Amino acid sequence: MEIIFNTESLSFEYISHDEKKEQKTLALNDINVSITQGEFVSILGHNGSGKSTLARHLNALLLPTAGTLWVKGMDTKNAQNTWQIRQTSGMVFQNPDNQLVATIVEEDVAFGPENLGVPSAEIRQRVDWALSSVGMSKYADVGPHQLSGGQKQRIAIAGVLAMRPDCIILDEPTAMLDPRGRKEVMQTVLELNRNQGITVILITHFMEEAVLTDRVIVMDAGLVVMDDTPRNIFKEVDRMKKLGLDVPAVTALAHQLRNNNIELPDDILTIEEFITYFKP
Amino acid sequence: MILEVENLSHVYDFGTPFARHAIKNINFSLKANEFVGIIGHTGSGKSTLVQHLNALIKPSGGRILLADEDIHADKTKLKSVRQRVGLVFQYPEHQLFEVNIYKDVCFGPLNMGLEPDEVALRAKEALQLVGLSEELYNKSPFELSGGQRRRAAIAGVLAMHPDILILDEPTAGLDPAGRDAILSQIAKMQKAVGNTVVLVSHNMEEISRLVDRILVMSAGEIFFSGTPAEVFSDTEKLTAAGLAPPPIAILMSELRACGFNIPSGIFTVDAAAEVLTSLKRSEKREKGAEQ
Amino acid sequence: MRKIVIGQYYPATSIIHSLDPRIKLGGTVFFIVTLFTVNEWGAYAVAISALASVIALSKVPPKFMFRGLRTMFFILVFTASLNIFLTPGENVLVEWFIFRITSEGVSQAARIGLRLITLVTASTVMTLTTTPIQLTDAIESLLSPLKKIRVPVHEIAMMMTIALRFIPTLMEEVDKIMKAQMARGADFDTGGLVKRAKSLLPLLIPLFISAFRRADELAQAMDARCYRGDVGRTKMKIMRFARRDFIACVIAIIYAVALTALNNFL
Repeated sequence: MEIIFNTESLSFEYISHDEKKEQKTLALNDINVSITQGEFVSILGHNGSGKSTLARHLNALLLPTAGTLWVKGMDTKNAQNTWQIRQTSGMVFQNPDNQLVATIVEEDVAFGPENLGVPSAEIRQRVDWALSSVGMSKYADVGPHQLSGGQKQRIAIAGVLAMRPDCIILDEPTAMLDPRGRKEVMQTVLELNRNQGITVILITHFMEEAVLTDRVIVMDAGLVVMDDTPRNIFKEVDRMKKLGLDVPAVTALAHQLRNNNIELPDDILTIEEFITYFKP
Repeated sequence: MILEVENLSHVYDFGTPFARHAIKNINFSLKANEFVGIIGHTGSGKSTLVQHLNALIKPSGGRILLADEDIHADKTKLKSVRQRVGLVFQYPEHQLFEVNIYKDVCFGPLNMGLEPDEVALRAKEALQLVGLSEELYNKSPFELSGGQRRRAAIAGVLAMHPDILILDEPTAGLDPAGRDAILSQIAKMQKAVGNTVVLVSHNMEEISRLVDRILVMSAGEIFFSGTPAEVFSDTEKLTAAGLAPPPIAILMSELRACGFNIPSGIFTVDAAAEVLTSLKRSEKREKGAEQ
Repeated sequence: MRKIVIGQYYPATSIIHSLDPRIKLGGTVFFIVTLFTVNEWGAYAVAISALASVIALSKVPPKFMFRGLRTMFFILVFTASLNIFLTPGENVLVEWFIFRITSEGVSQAARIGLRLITLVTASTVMTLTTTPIQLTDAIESLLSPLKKIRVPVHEIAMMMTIALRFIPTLMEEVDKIMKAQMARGADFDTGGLVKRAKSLLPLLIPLFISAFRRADELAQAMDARCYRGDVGRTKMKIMRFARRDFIACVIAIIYAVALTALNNFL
């Protein structure tokens, strides 16, 4: 499988001014990861762990202050690559209201391909395809302010899809949504990954969402501290708690029962698994 | 009864073709010192309901009695109603406007026309209650973290000394650590001040640990209500209201379906661990006895 | 607050909806100009029936047409009464104190009122059948000759689009912040001018902060979607003159001729 992102000692430092004194903060500290085409990766970490900073590097909104990041072999520091990189890895942001540009849904979805200079007839096709991929064809003609939060995020995803990217990066797309909206967005993203083979990188702090992905990267203080399958990540219940993160309730329960000397595997993630092992 | 709601209903865009009921037939009451949760999915009417409770929205029908007095009976008393029923909106940090958080917290008490000494006293006390230390008082809201900004905004309402404090989605958008910190602070504060607290949320877990009683809203009405144990055990009704029951409650009901003898009303990890441990231990003992 | 809608597009599939927005914009301006050149009842009848046919063709329920008039009501009454009382004439109907109403005045007021109603309804028909984005596209296209003298036409149109997109969002925000400050005892309705202006600070400061935050996030989102001005930009919907647009032009010309004839020769 082709590698879509890889980094070599990627670091990012920023300077904040606080009443005359300058303060340097190392938001990303020597990151070395690589992500393969078609993977569904989630990045977990508490606020300020550097996960959003990393996401913004992946489509060249931020550039490394040291080290290198390649997107499909293109160095993000080379300004000539910027537009190609942003087309390759599209980005969906946290606040659904602040990323929709147009007053009509289909016009908004068309915004990306229009910027890329795609011929009109093809934009039309891409917009229709993108809207149907996120299940929002019915809403092509309405205004964004008439949609729910979850629907707006699906439109934002469609807007990225219409650019025909290899990868979609979602920066806490569900943080401002209710449970129903969260489910909608996750379902959409899962389908895109499974059916269209699109690489998905999901920044989140909801562990229920991370459980559904293929690989979890845990960040803390600008470092990658864990990088494994969800099963292997969440069985480290105590470590996750120390990092300020949750584990699925069922996993936490199994962990407590193991501490009480009840025999159960340490990597239970779902209710079904729990029942299977709990039954005598 | 500190607050009573009788047959409350509200119609948006009344008299136009777009008229729709936001809430209808709402009846409930709040006792002094009670900690009540309101859950429901977006659009279930919970935000509209709580905005009625401090007279920000006028009901289309029914009335609200605050200490046996209709809150809309005397227009000149609206300000006092809003002081007695404090409402913290969703993302309250977006309302901060002063140069530092201390001054911002003073805004409410100043509007009440209190003496400067009293204002200062209340502001400090409120900031202490939400766990913000003195070095932060002169900081601009921009210099604080998201969680700290939210605490400052909550302090702004607390400083008015409301008899009833309503918090609309106080943990929205926070990470797990920030969420837990805010919730434990709210619980601590309720114990310290002893006022009535209403927590509006769509997160089951966070409500279950704190409140005495839960109202479940759906389609503008109170769909059902009860203690956390009663509400969270009824996974079917919760699902019908468009809510996801706590995973532990689902697990318990599925284990029960498999023939395990599990009492109802278990929905937290700790309670479940206790019940399942004793279950397994007695199972072992029985096995031991057989052999 | 919730009812303020700018860009009151009514989605439907009709011949009027599918006309080139440039034709609709130009046509509306043309129609309004013709209204001011005529003064005969017969001509008004033609103008009104032309407008009525456009409304019928647009498939928008007529009740939507007159919404725009509601906000205009005061101006309408004011203009009409000015004309009733101030038009000099011979044929006095009522006279009281310094007021005197003449039949010329009444007829002048009726004409002016009718003209205003027709004017507002015509622009309402346009905004009901044209999306704000089509409208900005039309303006961008009609103004594009100005690009030669370095007028940033594309940027202006983009700003209009974004403004239209964010008006409902900011309205909601105003409502929310106002309520939140009222919950803290703020009073926006009483006191003198200075006190009122001061009382707006707790509303305006958070509103500006939030608008800047939104602008910043939106700029980043636009960057991420490869926006770089109109360099190499294409459009999904190209405005192209179709047969129906030529027919519309011809109808407009016939209408103008008929109007002039009625106004001058009958």
